[in-house]
Amino acid sequence: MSDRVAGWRRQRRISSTEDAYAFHRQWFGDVQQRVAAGEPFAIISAEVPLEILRAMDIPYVMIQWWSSLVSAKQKAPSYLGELRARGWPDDQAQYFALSFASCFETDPASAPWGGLPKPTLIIGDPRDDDQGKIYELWAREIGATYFAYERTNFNDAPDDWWALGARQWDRLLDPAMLDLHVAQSHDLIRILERETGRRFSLDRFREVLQLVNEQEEWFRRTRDLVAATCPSPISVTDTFTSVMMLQWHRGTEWGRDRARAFYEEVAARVSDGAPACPQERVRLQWIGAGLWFDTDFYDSFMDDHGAVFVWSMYLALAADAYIREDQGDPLRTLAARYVAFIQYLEMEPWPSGWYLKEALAHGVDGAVAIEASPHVEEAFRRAGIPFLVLGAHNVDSRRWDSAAMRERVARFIEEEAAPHAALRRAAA
Amino acid sequence: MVTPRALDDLHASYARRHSALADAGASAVSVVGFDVPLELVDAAGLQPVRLCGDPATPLSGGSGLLDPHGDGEAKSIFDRLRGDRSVRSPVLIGHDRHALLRLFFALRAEDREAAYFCDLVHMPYRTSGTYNVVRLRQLAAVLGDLAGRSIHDDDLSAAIARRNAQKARIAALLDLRRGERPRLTGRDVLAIVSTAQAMSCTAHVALLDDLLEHGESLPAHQGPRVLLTGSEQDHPAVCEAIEALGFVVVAEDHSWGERFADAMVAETGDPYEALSDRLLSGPPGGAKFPVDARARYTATVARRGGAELALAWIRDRDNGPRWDVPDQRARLAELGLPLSLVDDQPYHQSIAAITATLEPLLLPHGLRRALP
Repeated sequence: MSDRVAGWRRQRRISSTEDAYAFHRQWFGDVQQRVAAGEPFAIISAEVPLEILRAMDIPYVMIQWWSSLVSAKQKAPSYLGELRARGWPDDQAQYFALSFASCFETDPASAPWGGLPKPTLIIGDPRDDDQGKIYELWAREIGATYFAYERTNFNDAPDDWWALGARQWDRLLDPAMLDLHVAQSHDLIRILERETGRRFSLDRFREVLQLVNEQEEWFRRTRDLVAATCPSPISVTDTFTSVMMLQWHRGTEWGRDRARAFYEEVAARVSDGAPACPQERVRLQWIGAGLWFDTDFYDSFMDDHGAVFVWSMYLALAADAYIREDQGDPLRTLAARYVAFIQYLEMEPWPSGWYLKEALAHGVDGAVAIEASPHVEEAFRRAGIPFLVLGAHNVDSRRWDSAAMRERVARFIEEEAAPHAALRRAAA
Repeated sequence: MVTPRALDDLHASYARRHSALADAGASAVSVVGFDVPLELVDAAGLQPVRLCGDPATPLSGGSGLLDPHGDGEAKSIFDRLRGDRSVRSPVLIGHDRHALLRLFFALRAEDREAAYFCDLVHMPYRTSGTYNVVRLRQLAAVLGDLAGRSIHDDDLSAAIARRNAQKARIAALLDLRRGERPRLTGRDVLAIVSTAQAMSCTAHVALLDDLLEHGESLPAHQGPRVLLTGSEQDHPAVCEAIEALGFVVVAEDHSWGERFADAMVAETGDPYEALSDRLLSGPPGGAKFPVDARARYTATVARRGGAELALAWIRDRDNGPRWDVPDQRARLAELGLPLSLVDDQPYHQSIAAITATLEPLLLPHGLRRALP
């Protein structure tokens, strides 16, 4: 099946993508009805432990997902304008501010998917200078409670976090950070029990954690399969929905089973010799959050350049950053998943080491970064891998010139990535 | 009227702020940010020197390593640290703002021993306080290694008492600015508070005592009274531009001004918990603190100083303060104060450029340019 969007033919290569999308759409509609009937509901950032809410059957929406949906529906310019009209900035922390801005939508018929239900709680981590303020203002605006997980940092840790994280996280992670996260989780559970009347069950929580590990293990196998297969069976556009929709539902049997189905479908494509781009010549890596208002961008270099974006952080982080073996204290195991979320992508040499590790494993010929990443760029250039910085924003489309950006990437492919690819093939 | 020698000395030291680290000698420890407790450095027998940027020195290309989140001040400090051989490792960096975390990451990427991140958190909860105490005790161990001695709780308690006495004197001096005819300017306060964070506490207190003794002999200043809020002011250019237009900065809510003096530390109980409470319960900064708390503090400072108008000066990439502005505006409006906003300002710009920006905003409030 195919869609014609913005003049580009988008191939739906993975049927589980359609299934995941349909499930999520249905689920969201169900949540709207449940909340309308009086059930509790939370809005949470991706960096806080959804597993607690999962275990208590409290529905939630991820802020980053909601902002990506708002952006995909091309509502970012008008919604950000609502912030500016009220004296707040419209050009800061848009990935989070956009969701806040959506609460000023007064027409449910115009709101994406009918709009966000009113939450009982907003749960976030105030890691930058503005996010805590955004959550505070949002909660005040809609009459919700804001619960914050402090975002902490440490001075030193082993470099190979991806090798240690799953089973030796006690060697990797600072105990003070884990202690604080556990203490905050206890506080959150108490508040959720009080606000919702639901009880937290440790047994149920352990089941959720186990299901998450199983789901992420299937993602790890998929990531490894894509890395080892040339031409690639899928592109990143196949992972945005097939991975991220499942990540929002992690801790469910549905999520685990769909992750397995995704792997099996990708494996079948490998067995059947069905690549994403039969004429693949160049393999690209996307560094940063997805361009949610223009996801057709990624596949638009296949026909003319044989260039495939084979990597984005979503499948790779699922593979490397989520699996956490329970070491006896499930809340501490949970903390081990979350305390270093930001450091993976920000604290050098963690990000450059990981991105480069992935680039080499996937046989990448060039990396395209959504924003400046000086240390990562330096690491790639030292490794001889071409690097392009777009200087864009993933949900704020106001400064995105689609034609100009495609032209820049096309030139990058022609002048830098393609020569690298030729050398790679010659050496193979 | 003769300006007391002490004020001249403080201004002279302030003018030499970029040499403060070298001037402090072998016992100097570089500190970046307000969150790092000077008291703990004092308790180790070391001399804390809080670093500032230098907007008059262009950035090097290497400062781009802090992109995309590093602001001008953080980049300027980064350049200074890389180019200054008198800097002793590790530099202590606080988590006042996200840009300082990026500074830490950039320094660490070049040399893992170059910087120590003092990760104190800010939410007013028991769990945050417990975490902070752990981090403060770890910082004490680092300082103890640097100094070659352990820091005992009594050492810290004594250091807290000395710094509180310093802050109490500064608070008394700030009263000189709050009268009908201010006897200190905003630039005077910058000099007083900046040097407080860069020179020996004992020596600084001696100057404060001299200044307090002669405070009533200081010349009185005239001009509409301004509250300066928004970004931290680690250099005097904005204040100088405001006062050159004939205004007087009678209040500010940043840590190179009144916020330093307001941040008293309890002298009873566990001294580490007291240091943590300074952040959790003390005066809020423009980043990392709730909007409501920040706006209430801004209004308190404005009322205390008798301000007649407010100016929010916000630097480019300093994202926290911008979200405070609507609440600040509302709180200040309750006091009858208008708030003018100037945002996205480059860190590196001349006083002339700053003045050109401020003139159309401030002069309609009915002021004349100060005569030379």
